[in-house]
Amino acid sequence: MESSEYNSDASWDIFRIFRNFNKNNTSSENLSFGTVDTGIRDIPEKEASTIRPVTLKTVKFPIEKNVLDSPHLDTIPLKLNLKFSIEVENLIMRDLTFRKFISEIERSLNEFIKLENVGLENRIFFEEDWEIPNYKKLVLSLNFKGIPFKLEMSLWKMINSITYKRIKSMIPYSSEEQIRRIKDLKKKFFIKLEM
Amino acid sequence: MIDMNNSFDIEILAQDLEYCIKAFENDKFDLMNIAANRLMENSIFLERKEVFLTATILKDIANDYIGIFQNKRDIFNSAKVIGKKTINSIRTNFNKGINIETIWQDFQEYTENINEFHKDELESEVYMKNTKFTSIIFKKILKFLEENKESFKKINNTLINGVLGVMVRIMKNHSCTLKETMVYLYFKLLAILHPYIIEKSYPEKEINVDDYKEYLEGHVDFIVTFYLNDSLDFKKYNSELWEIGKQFRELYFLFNPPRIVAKTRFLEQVPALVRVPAVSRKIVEKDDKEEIEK
Repeated sequence: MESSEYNSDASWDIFRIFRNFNKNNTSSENLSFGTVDTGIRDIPEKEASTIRPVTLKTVKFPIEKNVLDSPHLDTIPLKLNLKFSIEVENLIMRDLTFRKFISEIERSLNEFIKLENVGLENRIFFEEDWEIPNYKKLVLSLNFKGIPFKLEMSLWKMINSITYKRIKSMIPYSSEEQIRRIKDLKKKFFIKLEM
Repeated sequence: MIDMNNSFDIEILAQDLEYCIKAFENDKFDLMNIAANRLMENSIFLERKEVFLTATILKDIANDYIGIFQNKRDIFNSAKVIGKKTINSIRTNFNKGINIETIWQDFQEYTENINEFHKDELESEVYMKNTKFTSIIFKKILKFLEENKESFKKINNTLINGVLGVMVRIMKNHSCTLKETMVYLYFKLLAILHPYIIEKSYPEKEINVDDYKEYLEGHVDFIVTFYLNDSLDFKKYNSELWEIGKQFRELYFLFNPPRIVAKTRFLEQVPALVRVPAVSRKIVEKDDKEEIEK
């Protein structure tokens, strides 16, 4: 349809409606409410009296978005950022029991965070003991930020209890060789508070 | 070893690789998958088969970590060590000129280790390494595949994903040797190509004989013979893998996204670890609407 044609049609419609509202019905055409002519519904008197004044609201049309079926992965932050020393990383690669041991420690920390919802920085590394040569401790170092010492101590105790409980739970499902290794690792394992 | 003297090629591919590694380091595994696709595509354009293998492996690693990041968040940091070490090794290998055997060694070590993280807590308590069993199942399933390969002609067959699903489960619970890892990676790529072959045949209900022979039969025959004859020919395997990749990319240009992918919800597209690209709901709805209007 040409635009000028469309405009003249529209203006004629408006003229007809305006004439009807003014009861200036000199035309031979009978316009009534609720017809295709006007598109306005005829409201019975009773119903009309109950109608509340209409407040105009800004209508926002929904913006079309490309919605993925699953939330974008990058938007879900990790709660725990556990860092490992190179030596620990190398052992994770090589040693299955050690890998399981470290995974249990990580699970414990996540369990703790779920319970307490506290922010903490962690590192796991081997530390040489200056008193005993060739003896290396496996250290989980915790750093609670901006928490009073007393509370830090109670949180440390809680992590200790969760972690050792998890380590113990590995034993019934491990082979004899693995149990020896787990016990050995447990002896070397310490949870330290960064001061 | 491949010739890495053509600095123009290498510079481009090294940039893709670097982007892939950075995406991994920043836990952006969706981006890592995209970066691996780029590396894959550019290696096809530049005809670098060894780089293509590297890209396929990186894509698989990205897919693994998408799953681990979503489902195994309580051990994510420990699991990430496996990928970190493997990717570092891939980078070193790339810079030295790509030694295929080293890539496979790295990927095999990676596969064995990462599968431990795919197990749930109970599975890791119960299942022990048993590669003999894995080998028996692989033989059986490949023989089954060979006997039923004609069913690939029907567009609604789910043979590839079925086979892949079994392979993933067996490898995860009982571990595997390099041979199974190679077969697995081959099927991963074949599973990505398959929806595009179906799309090419649309609206027919059967894949025509020429397409079946070109895109499916040859690849299936190769991998069955490769495994059952116990032949670890890295070069030949790599050429076949590259051929699948090339066909996938060609059909991707022509028919993306395939209807079969667009009509499936994302989560339904992930049987075990078998992943296909995520498709927006918009495409799905549009497609459905079109069908209603018809």
